[in-house]
Amino acid sequence: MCTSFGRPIRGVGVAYVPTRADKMRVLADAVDFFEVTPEAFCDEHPRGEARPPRLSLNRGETEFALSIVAPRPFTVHGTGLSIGSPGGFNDAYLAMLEELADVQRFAWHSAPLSFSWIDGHHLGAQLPLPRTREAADLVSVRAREIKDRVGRPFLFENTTHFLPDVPSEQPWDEVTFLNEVAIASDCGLLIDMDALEDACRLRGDDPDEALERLDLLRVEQLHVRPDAERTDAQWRRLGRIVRRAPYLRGVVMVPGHDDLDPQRLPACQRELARLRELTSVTKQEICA
Amino acid sequence: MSLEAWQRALGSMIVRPHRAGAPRPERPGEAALSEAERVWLDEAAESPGLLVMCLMERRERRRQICATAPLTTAALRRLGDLHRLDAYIDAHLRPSAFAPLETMRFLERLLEDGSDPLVATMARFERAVLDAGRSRESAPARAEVELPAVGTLRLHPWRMVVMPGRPEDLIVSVALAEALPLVDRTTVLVGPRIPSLWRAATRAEDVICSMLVRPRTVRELGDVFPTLREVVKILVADGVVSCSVEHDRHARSSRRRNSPEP
Repeated sequence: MCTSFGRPIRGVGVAYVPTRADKMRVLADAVDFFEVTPEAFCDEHPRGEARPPRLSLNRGETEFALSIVAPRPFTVHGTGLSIGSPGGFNDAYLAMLEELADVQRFAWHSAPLSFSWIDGHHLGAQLPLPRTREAADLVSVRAREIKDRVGRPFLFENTTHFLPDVPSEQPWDEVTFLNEVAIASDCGLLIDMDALEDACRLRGDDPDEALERLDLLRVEQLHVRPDAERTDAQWRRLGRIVRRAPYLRGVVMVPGHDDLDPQRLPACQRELARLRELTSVTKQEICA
Repeated sequence: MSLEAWQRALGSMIVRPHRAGAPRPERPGEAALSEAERVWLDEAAESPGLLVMCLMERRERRRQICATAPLTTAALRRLGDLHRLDAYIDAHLRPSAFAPLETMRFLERLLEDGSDPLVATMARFERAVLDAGRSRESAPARAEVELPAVGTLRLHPWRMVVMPGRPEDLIVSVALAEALPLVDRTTVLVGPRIPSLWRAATRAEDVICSMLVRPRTVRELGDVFPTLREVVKILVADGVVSCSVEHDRHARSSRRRNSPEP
């Protein structure tokens, strides 16, 4: 198998939607791997007001999900880690991830560069961190610890939010801050293409210019939402990053429940086929 | 910058948004912030983006609770009382990103605060079903159940729900907002080992569960109902009633009390 950095190139994946398990079986033929969010099949056990609940894998739901995804390689994308929370990341999430790693080996895991828990309360959103040295150092140290504990590569994801541009120390903007954190922690980057484009649109920036400044050596995964009306410019942008990020290991489509309605499913399949074409060409180029 | 103070202040703006016309709520840790940071937070508080995030967060909590407790929220809607859900969301921070934990807290709050009988019945029923679903993983296998004579039988306080009609009819009527078929009182049993998590009690089960509102030993119950041993076994196997032997524990603690100090 063609490898980069000693890791397999996976191609195209889809995020597992537990409420659409039947459609996941249908999409299995269209993808090279799955991405799972394990909190979705966990039981929660309250630990008092000030701490997030303990998570334990629900055996039945985990076995069911793995029966669909595990015949292929799979990765983990968690939204519950809250790596930037004051007082520490969500240790309950990490303990659950270690439990999952004992059950089934996964290729890598990722989480947003954000915070979503404060003092045992979920904020309902992934909130951005200020782009300061203090924040960069904090999450870099934590990412190294997380990588060591789970024993799998870890990727930071850019966040989606609608707030004004957060306070920054020079010379950081969103892209250069992601580069800084990835290098300082020796982790990879997962770029949510839609979030990046949305953020650029909100600030009046050019997404192509933003991608030029991204450290492509660190980009290992992309997220895209299903979008039957993705423009040619967006496809070109995707193609450019796929061709130029030498260690990119996967492009993952992240559908919502409604995207997998029977009438919308064919559009997802067509998009996955096009993404697969995009990545397979690149894979051949890299292997050559 | 005080990173922690800034985060706490921003977090508080999401969970307790500033309402137009109301005095601006105090932000935790604000004293540790610089003037520039306070200005940024003020700008963020007034931004359409923050409003969108708050609305999305609130809508998602509402959607999750309605989806996880559809009967209780339908009963509230029928009475024009769905504002109690909004009041709960306003007053309580979110304990989890996922629905069951928060829905349990909402149902408990409804029951504590007192509710219309139909709302209370649906809240008790959905709380019991959610709880039984969460216990399913840890429930003992439904294999052979032993009933030692000294065993103490306990009815889980949530697992017997009295409904003012046939449960199937009542559930359909509440869900579809139709006229309520209130006929005979029916006892519903909820347990982690019942395949659909709940079922109507038989007359014998109803009598036994009513007896077990206070714990009784197997022998004590057998003295009253010598022929109903098999019924009790089914209740224990379904996880509606527990049977524990406390004799050993008392004996152990008694031995500990009587043993000499090392």
